[in-house]
Amino acid sequence: MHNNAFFHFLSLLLFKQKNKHIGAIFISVIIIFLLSSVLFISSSLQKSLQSMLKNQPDFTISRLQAGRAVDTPTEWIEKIVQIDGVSAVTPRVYGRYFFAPNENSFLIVGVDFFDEQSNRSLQELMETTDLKSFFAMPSMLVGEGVQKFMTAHYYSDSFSFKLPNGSFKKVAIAQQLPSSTNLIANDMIVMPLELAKEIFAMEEESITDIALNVPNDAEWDTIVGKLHLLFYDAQVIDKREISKAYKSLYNYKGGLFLILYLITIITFMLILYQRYSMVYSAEKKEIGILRAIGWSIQDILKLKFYETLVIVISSFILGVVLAYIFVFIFDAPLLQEIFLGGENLANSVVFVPTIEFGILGSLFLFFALPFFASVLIPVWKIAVTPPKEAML
Amino acid sequence: MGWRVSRELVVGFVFLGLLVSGLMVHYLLYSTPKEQNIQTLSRLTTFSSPSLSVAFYEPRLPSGNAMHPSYPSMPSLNKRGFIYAQ
Repeated sequence: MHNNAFFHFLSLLLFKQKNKHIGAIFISVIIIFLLSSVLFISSSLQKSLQSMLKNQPDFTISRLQAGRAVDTPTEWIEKIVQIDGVSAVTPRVYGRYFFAPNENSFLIVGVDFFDEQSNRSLQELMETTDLKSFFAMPSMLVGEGVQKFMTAHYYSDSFSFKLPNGSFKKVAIAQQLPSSTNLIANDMIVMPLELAKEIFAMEEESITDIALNVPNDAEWDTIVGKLHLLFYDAQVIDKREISKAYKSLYNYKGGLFLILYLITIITFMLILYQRYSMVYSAEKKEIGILRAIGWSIQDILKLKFYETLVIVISSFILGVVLAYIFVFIFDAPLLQEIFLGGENLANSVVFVPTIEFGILGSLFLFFALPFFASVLIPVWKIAVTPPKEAML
Repeated sequence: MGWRVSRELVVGFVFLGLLVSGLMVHYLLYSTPKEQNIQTLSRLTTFSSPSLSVAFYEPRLPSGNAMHPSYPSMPSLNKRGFIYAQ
């Protein structure tokens, strides 16, 4: 059959029978949209977290007592510094502060602002607030979730922390951390190290844990061994474990959706298969007519192949583009809660556009192949039967 | 002889082409200042873990996953070992 006439017929047929295809396109777009949205969110979060992991210290070491992490003595720092190959040994003070009435909690992070690097970072973050006024009185930077929570509880300028000894410590809210940092800072409070220690009632010579870097990767395992020999009650966590935890967390959630996708796509394909193989279906009649006027089996398969190709490509593009707009322009309302949770302080993050073309390619194959199979197999079965029988 | 396809099909493909080009333009030209803020904060606090509002997962606090080889202790309960084999 002449190609030109064939494609003209195909394009006319597609729009003549558009009502028949709209249903299939609509369901396909929804399936592709949902799965692509989940994949976009998952890959965007993973990319952001993995890129932030570069700023994370290589190791953190804390003290264990009776299987629980307890405060780490500051004297450990001096011993760690003496190990060859270790650099940037810094004390960290952090922990959860529970706001009892609502069972909500904040993550308080103490930062040594007298450190040159920290000071520079603080200046970058505090564009609007004066650093002098920040250090003049007990002040803190709060994440968006914390700010909203405090404002709702009438603490718009300052918050009174209840200390373990029953007294109160009033700390001024210097500034809200930028909304773009919500991914890690929604429930975070950043304050000077000494103030954090005071709120947690930690002893002068105690810290939560010690962070350190080992610039040479080849020495990592040796250093871990040395740390364990130095402190028998120490717990050493390295960056690789954190990286693994992030990957498994989002792969796990993405995997759940993949299972749902497989169930949905199989159901949809069964419906499509059924539509073509029904005894009195319009498709059967149409193929019978085409065969009766002289079309070969190959022509019919070619027609159905191109017809399906147009449907598959349009649905896939529409689904992916809609998912992209939903996730990276509207920041995936509703769906992001599945990834971030809503048990403590409601979070709302900005997703950095990330497209993993390999995953999209696999998704296309997983969508297109069953789609083609569920259309072409019954069409072939009808096409090989005599036209008279097919039109019955 | 030129190709003859229906006008609607051409319009449809042009529309899809525009959608894909729009997506690529947004993807390639997306500005990074939003990313820089989060990097600065992560550098300041040395924390990179997500602020998940989920009770069972708190990667920022010591997890108890890394044990001392000569002083083993019970792994903490907030791990997802039941999902992933160690």
